Amino acid sequence: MARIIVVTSGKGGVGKTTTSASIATGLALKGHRTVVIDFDVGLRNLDLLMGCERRVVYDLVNVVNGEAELHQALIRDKRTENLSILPASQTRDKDALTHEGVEKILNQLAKDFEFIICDSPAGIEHGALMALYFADDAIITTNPEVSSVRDSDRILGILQSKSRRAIENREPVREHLLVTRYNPDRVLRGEMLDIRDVEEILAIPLIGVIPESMSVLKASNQGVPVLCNDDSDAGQAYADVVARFLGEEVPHRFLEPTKKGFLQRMFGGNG
Amino acid sequence: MTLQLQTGTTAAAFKMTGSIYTLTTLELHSTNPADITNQLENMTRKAPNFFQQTPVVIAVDQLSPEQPPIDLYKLRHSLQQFGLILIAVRGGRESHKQDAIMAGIPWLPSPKQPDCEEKGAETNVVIMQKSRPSGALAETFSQPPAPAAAFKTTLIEHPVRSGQQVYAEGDLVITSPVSAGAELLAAGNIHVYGPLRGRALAGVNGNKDARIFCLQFEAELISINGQYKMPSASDSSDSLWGGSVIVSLEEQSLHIKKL
Repeated sequence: MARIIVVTSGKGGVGKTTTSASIATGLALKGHRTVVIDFDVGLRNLDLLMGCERRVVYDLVNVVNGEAELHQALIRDKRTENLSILPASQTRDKDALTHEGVEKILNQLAKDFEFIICDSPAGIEHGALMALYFADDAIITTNPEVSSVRDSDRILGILQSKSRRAIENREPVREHLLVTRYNPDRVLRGEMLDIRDVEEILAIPLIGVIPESMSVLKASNQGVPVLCNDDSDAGQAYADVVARFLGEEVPHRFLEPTKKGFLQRMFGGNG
Repeated sequence: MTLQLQTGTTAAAFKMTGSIYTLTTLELHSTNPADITNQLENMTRKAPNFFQQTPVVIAVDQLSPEQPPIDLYKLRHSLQQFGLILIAVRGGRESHKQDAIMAGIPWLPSPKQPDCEEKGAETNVVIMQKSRPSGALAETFSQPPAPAAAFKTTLIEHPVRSGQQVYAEGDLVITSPVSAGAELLAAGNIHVYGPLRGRALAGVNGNKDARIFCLQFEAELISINGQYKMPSASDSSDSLWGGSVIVSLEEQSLHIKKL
């Protein structure tokens, strides 16, 4: 049975697509056949982060509408074996997705892949509901600030009531909290919520904390998932998340403020 | 309403008092006389004496408009055959009211919340029917089972998230956190065994004795019987924020006390 994982948040710009790209890559690197689907129809981004934007011919909506076969739309990742991308359409809107159409695609993918990652659009409307409806697991991506936490709470409520597992009264969707853009120095200065506060408010298990890092932006612009950058703290943190997702016990890192050297303190270096 | 005959030495021939009775209600879903008779037959066969001399109210508010009109005379007759005495017709359209008046049967308006109250009462009837030995007297049945049903407790064991709303006909007990932006409504008391960060409205159907209890008080809004208060951390007048509290309504104002 393939596991369907939705990466969702409610709020936009918190790092859903970055997370989808890195987790999908991480799972594939560990030898699991993985596909990542961009549900953000109309605002296609995942292909950019995965560096395959020039290889998109057919997309999710084409397959839903029967204008293309699934294998025609799937893009095999050049960098990582076992990894495929199903891009979103840039010219359509989210209403083009239907339960039946998405279910058919997921059933087909479940035959060939172990993990299906659904990169949800922001918001709580049709597109986001489509992305989370079939989920077995949900990675709730949250920034350590109040509005993001509030929106994540809202999306957790929606998972509880509107996911297929909830509607069919099955075992609920497994929820994992992923805090991104965490900066312990700013937490210390009271500019950011502490990880413990976020955990306490959302009351779901923490799967990882991704530190705020320049390497994330750089990776996005280069079209390489940040996880592939072994030197970066964010890349390492994502690798930890993947390991934890697969059941390994890995201690949380990057939670304490960096101990700055004399020069860094003088010139305010960014770690 | 009942009439009471006064046989004492007082001048008045009777005294009029208002009383509340629990009555059996037949919620009609079909107007077909044969269907109704069949079901009555099946029902009374199990406990023939149970329904003797039982006053019933016919509720027609759940009838779909496609159903043909009811023949009240016939219905009254068939009910009587099984020991049920039709005493009133409840709800429905204007035509139902007219029919009832024509047949000389009192007409009652629909209760405001047909869903919760009637269903509660109905389930009760079924339970009694099963647990009771046949031959029980009808009088025992008129012991009001309704209050018990009205104070049914709702238990929620998962977190109540932002944007979610929970309504309880009776008491509401929550064993998980209640997030900011969530709303709890209860006709009775509200108990939160965890942080209460959302809104909690107790006694919403007019119960000034309802109370709110919580282990970690960070509510956006609390209300009892329509009286509300929007507490905040900066309200330094009390150090109750974040602690265990009990909220009650005393003389038209909300009182928050440490638990």
